[in-house]
Amino acid sequence: MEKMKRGLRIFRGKTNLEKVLFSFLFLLFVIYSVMLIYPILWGLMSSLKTTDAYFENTFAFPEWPFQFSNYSDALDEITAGGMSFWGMVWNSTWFAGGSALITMEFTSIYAYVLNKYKFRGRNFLYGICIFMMSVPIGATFVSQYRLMYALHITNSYLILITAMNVYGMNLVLFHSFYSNVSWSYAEAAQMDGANFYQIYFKAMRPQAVPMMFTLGLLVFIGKWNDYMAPLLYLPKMPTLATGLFRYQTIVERNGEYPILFAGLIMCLIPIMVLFGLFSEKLMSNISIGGLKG
Amino acid sequence: MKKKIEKDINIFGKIKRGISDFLYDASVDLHEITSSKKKVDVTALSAVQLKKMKSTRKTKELLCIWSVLILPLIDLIIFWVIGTALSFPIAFEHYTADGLRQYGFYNFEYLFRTITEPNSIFLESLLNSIKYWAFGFFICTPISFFMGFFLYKRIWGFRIFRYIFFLPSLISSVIVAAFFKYMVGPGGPVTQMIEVIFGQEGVLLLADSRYAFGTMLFYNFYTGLTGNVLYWLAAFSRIPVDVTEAGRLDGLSIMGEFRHITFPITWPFLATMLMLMFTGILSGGGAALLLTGGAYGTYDLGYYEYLLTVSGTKNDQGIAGAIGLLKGLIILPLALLINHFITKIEPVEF
Repeated sequence: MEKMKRGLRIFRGKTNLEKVLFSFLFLLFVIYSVMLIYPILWGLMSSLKTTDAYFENTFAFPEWPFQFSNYSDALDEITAGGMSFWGMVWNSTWFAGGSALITMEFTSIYAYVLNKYKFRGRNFLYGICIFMMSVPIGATFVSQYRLMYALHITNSYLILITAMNVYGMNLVLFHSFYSNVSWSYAEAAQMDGANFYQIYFKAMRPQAVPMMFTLGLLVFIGKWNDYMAPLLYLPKMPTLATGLFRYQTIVERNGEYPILFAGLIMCLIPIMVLFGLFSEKLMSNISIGGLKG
Repeated sequence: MKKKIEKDINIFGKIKRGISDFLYDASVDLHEITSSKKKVDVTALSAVQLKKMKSTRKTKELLCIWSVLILPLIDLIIFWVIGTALSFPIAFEHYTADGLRQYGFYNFEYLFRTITEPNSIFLESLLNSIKYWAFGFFICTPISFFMGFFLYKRIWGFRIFRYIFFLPSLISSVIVAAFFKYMVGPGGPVTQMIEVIFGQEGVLLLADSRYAFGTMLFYNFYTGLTGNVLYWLAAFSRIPVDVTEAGRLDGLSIMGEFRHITFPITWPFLATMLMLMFTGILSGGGAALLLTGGAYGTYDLGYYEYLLTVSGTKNDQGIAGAIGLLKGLIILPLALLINHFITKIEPVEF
């Protein structure tokens, strides 16, 4: 009875037509959600099958006992460019973590300076950022590719210097964030004898840490999942995403699909864990990003 | 019991406060000792000395400011300014059989010549890119806008849907594409379903030119539909509740609310997004690299440029440069025109 009442509450204040519309759309949303979730579940199920069982019926549930050995096999067999699975995990970690850290630190202090200090060229620098965002003109694919190789920053940790590119939506977000931070904090720090860097690092930056963390998390996820840049610029240091992409060509020859699926699922785990831990922060941040967009 | 706990907290609170007060006093004393050595009696200084002091302080501040800006600026100069400048010579360069580099319109001539040839990859890529873009712009965007609206109207389970719809943005395209590819591949669950429902055996959705492009469009729809939903949702959440409630009290239906309240209020945001999407008209693409390798009529400009750059000869790279430059030349005036219109959009007051 209680459930019925609760069930009726969702129709409260709605006309009959709206009830039909909401019911129909709810059904569509459910179908679409299933379409989004099912491939992951299918990959998970397939990763627990033997190769023979996979080919026998790709639709079927895995039989007991599950082939957890596929996961240990994936750790041994999935290699790319002479790099082991754990090597690729490390490459993904430094590439994503380093990029997130550098981008956030530089964007925050850059936005702080542009917002809080008056100097010649300030408006020009902020204008460049807005221009680059609204007019997608820049180096062509091939010129970027040649430039990276000419600078000898490919296949090395030096690739992280490209993360110093602060000109984008994050700069706008940080700029607007610092507009709302009172300058009185800096004045108080100045009276205590703090210099330029101490004002930023001890009075201003700590206030921006939550924002840096959530935006940094988005950068981390983006870079962890990125396959194009590592494919082009880190061919000898493959990340997990590019390694799994390259491993697909091997699988298509040897047919060890369950091992590939085990690798794909393992690649998903860190991102899903991060999402599980910080989903609320991420979602609210995206909402803010959307508003400022 | 409760009083005891409160008493304990008070004792701990007092100790904590005592320690922090002591540390604060100590830091103030220490600061006074160190800063008193540096202190200058400003009143005793002449106007010239004061001016000099101010100027030195200003110079120091400027040095600090530029010390912060310098690295991102160098990054901008190298990767954007020089990168863009390099685009021009690459687009015009051509290597002879002897390996001599020449500059001319060879690459552009090649592109304009091949565009008229049958089975031209350039033409296929160009048309497909426009088709991908048009599909996203005219089909996916309106649908995602409606989806965002009904999530905003708190359709049942909207909290869960919000998280599920975020999945394609969260998971690597390599993983999503791999699952998709093997699901629609030979013997995959989708192929089996087609067999059961339509009675057609061995339909290869990604390996048959009759279906491959359509399947790629579906993949774009499937993974890209929810990309903007959260942004729309954020825009809708700015609408004041009292405005929508007043509308409801005046007898507006849900669609009436959408038409007369939601749409006009969010129009500036929507228009800006739509206009910015226009600049992507030649950047539309499917996941050719991940799904088909461009086979079965699924090339797009981005993938074609990628192939020419990575796997091609130096002359191929010149052609890729010419494609990039042509794209830029078309998009630049379009983007500037759009920017002109964006600045004219006035936000709705409420």
